[in-house]
Amino acid sequence: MIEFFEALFSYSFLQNALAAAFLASFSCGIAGTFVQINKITFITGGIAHAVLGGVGASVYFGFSPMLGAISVSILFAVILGIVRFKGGQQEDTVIGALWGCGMSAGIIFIYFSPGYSVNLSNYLFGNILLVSKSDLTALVILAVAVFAILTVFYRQFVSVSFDEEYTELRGVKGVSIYIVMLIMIALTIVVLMKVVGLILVIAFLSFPAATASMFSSKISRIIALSSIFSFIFSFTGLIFSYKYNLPTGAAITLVAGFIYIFSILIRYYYVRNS
Amino acid sequence: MSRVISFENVSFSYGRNKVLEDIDLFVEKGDFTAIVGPNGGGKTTILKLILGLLSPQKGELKVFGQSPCKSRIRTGYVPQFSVHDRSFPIDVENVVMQGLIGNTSFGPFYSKNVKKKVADIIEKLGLTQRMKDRFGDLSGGLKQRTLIARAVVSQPELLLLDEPVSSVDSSVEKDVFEMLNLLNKKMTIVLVSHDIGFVSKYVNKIACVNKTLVIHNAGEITSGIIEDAYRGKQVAVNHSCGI
Ligand SMILES: Nc1ncnc2c1ncn2[C@@H]1O[C@H](COP(=O)(O)OP(=O)(O)OP(=O)(O)O)[C@@H](O)[C@H]1O
Ligand SMILES: [Mg+2]
Repeated sequence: MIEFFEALFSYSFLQNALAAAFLASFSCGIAGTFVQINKITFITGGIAHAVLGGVGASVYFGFSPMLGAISVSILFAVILGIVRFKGGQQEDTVIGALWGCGMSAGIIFIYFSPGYSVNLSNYLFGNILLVSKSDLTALVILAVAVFAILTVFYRQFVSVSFDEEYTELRGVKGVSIYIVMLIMIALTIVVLMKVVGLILVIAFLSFPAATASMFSSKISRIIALSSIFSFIFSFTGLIFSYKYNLPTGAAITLVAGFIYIFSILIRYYYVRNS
Repeated sequence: MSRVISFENVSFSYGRNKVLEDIDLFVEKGDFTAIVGPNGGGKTTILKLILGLLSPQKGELKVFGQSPCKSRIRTGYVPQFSVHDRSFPIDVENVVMQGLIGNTSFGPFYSKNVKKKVADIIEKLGLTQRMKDRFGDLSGGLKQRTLIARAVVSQPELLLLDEPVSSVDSSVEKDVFEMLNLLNKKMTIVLVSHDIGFVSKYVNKIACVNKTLVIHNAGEITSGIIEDAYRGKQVAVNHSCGI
């Protein structure tokens, strides 16, 4: 523990990692809560995996992967939002198809780009220790955007999540609000890509919100609590991965999973004894 | 008197299943109309048409002289079933506030004015003590009361209720009707009900729906007719309410 803090003061890559963990936790608390209350893990997974398509294309054509990830995640948020409302029975199938095609396109693009193997695993599994200064700038902008979207649309998001039909009946455009909410989640996915990687995004979005909703049934409080939990998870994971030289994304997600299961047990015990 | 709802020759089907056939229904400002009829008769479908959630394949339907989608902001609605996720983290107060989502602006906080309106209506429905309870934890009757509060909080000009008292206890049922009676001074009300005997004390028009629709003025309702309406399938098929 002490050596970690010593290292933290001397190495800028650790400072960057910590800053990235902070930004990711903040966005994750916000987006994860809405994923949880809307039960849209599948849509979120769809966006996360499809983002690889954007990353692959930018690597292949020589754009910034971050920019590719952002544009593709927004594009898929819009498509999946529309599918959600107009797709009827087909919704699951369409999401599954986009999920698979996006990811496959990404893999093929990266396969044809030079030096692909290193890149691919960094995007799939994340590496918070490789976050650069310019990544950090992008993460700040994304986190601020997520927070701004939340602040402006908080009421509408809660309303659509609780009862979409009634929201429409009150003259609010439910589809548009829903799409904005998915865009907020999509931007968070891009942030998390740097920290835990695209494959583990769903897990990392779910654990903090699921843990937090055991302690509160107020949405604003769940958001705050999940952000805090999320930071505890990523900080602890970071220490472990630094100390034992583990893959960061996996270490962070495992810590989150353990704490989640631990809280279920505590809660079970508490409910039984009260 | 101005016309609030007008159905002219309206037909509606779900796929091949014809649910409403050539119905005419006129509701004037200030009316308190009950819609009665057997299960599957098309009562809920009529309310959904008025709200613009469904649109008719044939005929003309106007609400406040406009298309239903345009007028829905002037309408309050209490659905028949609460389809909400039990574990959803929202309290009674915030469910009621949803009724004002179209009238309020953006940002995370509701104004004092909105909060006051909500608190008042919650008190009227006797929910003040449960205001901070999670909506999903309420009993069926209390949920219905919450949804009634959500529908009336925006003080709509037209209020649609789909069996709003099917699971509240009888003393509350009476309270709810007394309240509706009071609200009726300010708004037009259309209510779906199973209990014609009870509603006929309050309403001035009764629409009997079973694929087709027949309107009666409340004065015409006698207990014999009511029995006919619900007695056998025979009657129900010809014209449910046979009234
Ligand atoms: N979403 C739907 N898809 C297909 N058919 C439907 C749908 N909703 C209702 N129906 C059919 O339309 C008919 C009328 O339904 P509706 O819900 O309007 O009846 P209701 O009079 O409200 O009945 P209840 O008293 O049971 O509430 C029924 O035969 C029903 O099976
Ligand atoms: Mg019905």
